[in-house]
Amino acid sequence: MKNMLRKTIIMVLIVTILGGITACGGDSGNSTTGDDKAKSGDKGEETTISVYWGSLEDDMQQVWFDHFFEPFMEEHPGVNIDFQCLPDVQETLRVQLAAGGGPDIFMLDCFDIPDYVEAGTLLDLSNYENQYKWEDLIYDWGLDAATVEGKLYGVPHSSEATSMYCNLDLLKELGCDVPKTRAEFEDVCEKAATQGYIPIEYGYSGANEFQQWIYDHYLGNYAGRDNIKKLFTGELKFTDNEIKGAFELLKKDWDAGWINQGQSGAITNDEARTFFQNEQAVFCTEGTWLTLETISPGSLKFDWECTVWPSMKDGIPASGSAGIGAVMSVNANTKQADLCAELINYLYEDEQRLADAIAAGYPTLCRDVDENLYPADMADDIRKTLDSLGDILGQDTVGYAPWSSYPSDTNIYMMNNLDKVYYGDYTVEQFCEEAQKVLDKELAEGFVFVG
Amino acid sequence: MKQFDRRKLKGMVFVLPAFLIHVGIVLIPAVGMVWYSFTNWNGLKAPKFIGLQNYVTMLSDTSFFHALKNNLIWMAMFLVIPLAIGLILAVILSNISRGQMLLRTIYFLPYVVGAAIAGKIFATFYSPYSGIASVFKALGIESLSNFAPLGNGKLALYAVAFVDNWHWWGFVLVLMFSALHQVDRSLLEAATMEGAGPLRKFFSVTVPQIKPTIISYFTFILIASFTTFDYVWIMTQGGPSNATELVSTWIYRKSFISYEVGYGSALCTTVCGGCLAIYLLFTLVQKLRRRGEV
Repeated sequence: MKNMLRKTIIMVLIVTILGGITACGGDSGNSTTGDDKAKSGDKGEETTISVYWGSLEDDMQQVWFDHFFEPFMEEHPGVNIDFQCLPDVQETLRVQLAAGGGPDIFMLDCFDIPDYVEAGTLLDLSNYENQYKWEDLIYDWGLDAATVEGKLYGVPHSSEATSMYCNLDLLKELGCDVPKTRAEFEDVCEKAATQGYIPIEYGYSGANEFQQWIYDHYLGNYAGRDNIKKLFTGELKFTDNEIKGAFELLKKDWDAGWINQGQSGAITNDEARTFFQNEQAVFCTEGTWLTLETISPGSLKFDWECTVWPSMKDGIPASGSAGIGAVMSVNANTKQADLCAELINYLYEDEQRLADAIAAGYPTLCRDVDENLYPADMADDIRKTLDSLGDILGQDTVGYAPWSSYPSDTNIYMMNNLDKVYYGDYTVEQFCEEAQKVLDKELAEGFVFVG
Repeated sequence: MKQFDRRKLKGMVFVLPAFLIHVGIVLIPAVGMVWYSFTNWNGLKAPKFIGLQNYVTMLSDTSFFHALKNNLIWMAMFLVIPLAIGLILAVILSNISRGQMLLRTIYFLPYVVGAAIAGKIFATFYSPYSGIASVFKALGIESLSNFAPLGNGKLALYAVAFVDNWHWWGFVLVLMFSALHQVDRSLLEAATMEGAGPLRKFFSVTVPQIKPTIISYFTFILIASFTTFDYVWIMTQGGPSNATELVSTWIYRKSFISYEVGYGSALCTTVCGGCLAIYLLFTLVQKLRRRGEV
């Protein structure tokens, strides 16, 4: 009996210990190091920089490696880059950074930067800004978006613009031109709806963040950039007509069935996009990323144009909004701060390398690139969209993309509650009153509008 | 006595690893959650103690109460529908000898389909352009050609619940089928000899004998309905217009999208307390009924 008991205890202990050893986790996302032979951090003298990014398709990850990471590793023997693309990168980051760990370089949204700065998790990059003269290289509005209390906490990774894609063939069939005013826009929508087309494709089911596109179009082209700045600096309120009118117009167009026939809540963005691709919709609400990154060149088999959303009010010019797709920040606890800054600079410094990467589908960074550097065989769609992007960002009246400039809680409130207006659960007045309450709280907590 | 202590010790040793894991993964985080419910924490910076402020905020959170209402509707649906379908089909299947195993397998198949896959498939079925609506349109049934429940605030919750039901009732069928095997056949024969019809036998003989299984099912649903998350999040993320918002999705939204982790913890603590209260009440009623005092 004694032996039996002893054997039992030993067996249980062995099983528990083995279970504990084998329970150590592996990768939680796609992890590529460019070369299977290069393992991260497990060869004594090698240095590994870990980079966490959002979800990217395999071919896009390969573009990162081919154009940036592999050349960087070749120029820095002994340095490995562990690039992980995670579907829920923000949740993962928060947990790891709060625990004092986390990757060396990671992707952040602009509106999250203040929270991370307050928690002391981001490295101040101001010295590197001076060292690499980023202020001469990178758009100042891009650097401003990652600046908190005068210090730089990230480098903008991609620049993009909100826009309107138009099917020119359908517009010709309807006897219309690309609308620039509200009246022209209404004319197109009415004719399109009568002919059985979807005037504006738009779907957000399961992804409320896409609501930002639609309210950016209406707010930006009804209120205008100056009034948006006044709103987020406290000089105007959501309930003022200059702002509220935008949402009233949006509701009016929704009720008229112009916005995907009132079915946007029932369909995903992917499904809505197919209506534009299949020539069932006249306008597409997506921004310049559609033809630069999202769909393959040549996918749109009709004559199209990427332009600004039309003016929604007399006196307010037609314009798009400039946005930062993501920011590259450095972990305050990183042990290779210099190397991280060097890698970030490497992405920006060589104009030719960047031009080649963009031609392959890499996002446009926040810097100018001489169009003569793009390869001659670059896809026409990409070239055309780059021209449009340049035009939109070059406007004097370019607005502020919500995900880059709006206060975080207010933006989240709008994303998650705008459909209550669509479906009649909130009046526009109620929506604006609640949004103002959230904004008032953020302004009281010290939100500073960077615009 | 020594032998009894030794057996007890052996049992404890076998239970110890699972208990330690449970303490580490369940109990300690649960206690932590209660603590964080008294703080203002965004998951990043150090939590700041704010007393009962989160609970006071919850009292005026209309979205939370709306989610709670949706959860009660969800619970009511799952208390009745899968049980009714599962039990009736189990009774029918128990009287079939040929093809019974094949039918049981077919009915159980939805249960092995992952929630993400099933949710996406049904979201496509529900699409007003490429789903069942387009089939109705092609068949000329104009009244149903606009069938798009996920875009309809009045139908969305039931549409999502249907998918979870579809996934779940096969399991309930197998559960009830096993329970039916516990029914004493001699009692059924006696009832038949006494002239009882099928319905009378079912309600007077079968149901009382499988009551423990049904009670366990009710208890499970009472609690599990408050943890429902997957289908709602995959198909609608609580929309449109909060029509499918459940307590779990609201907690997730507050904790991991708005990063109000302290407030999310307060919501979670309240819901857990409510579930515990319901469970204790239910257990008390059962105990009292067994004693014949009710």
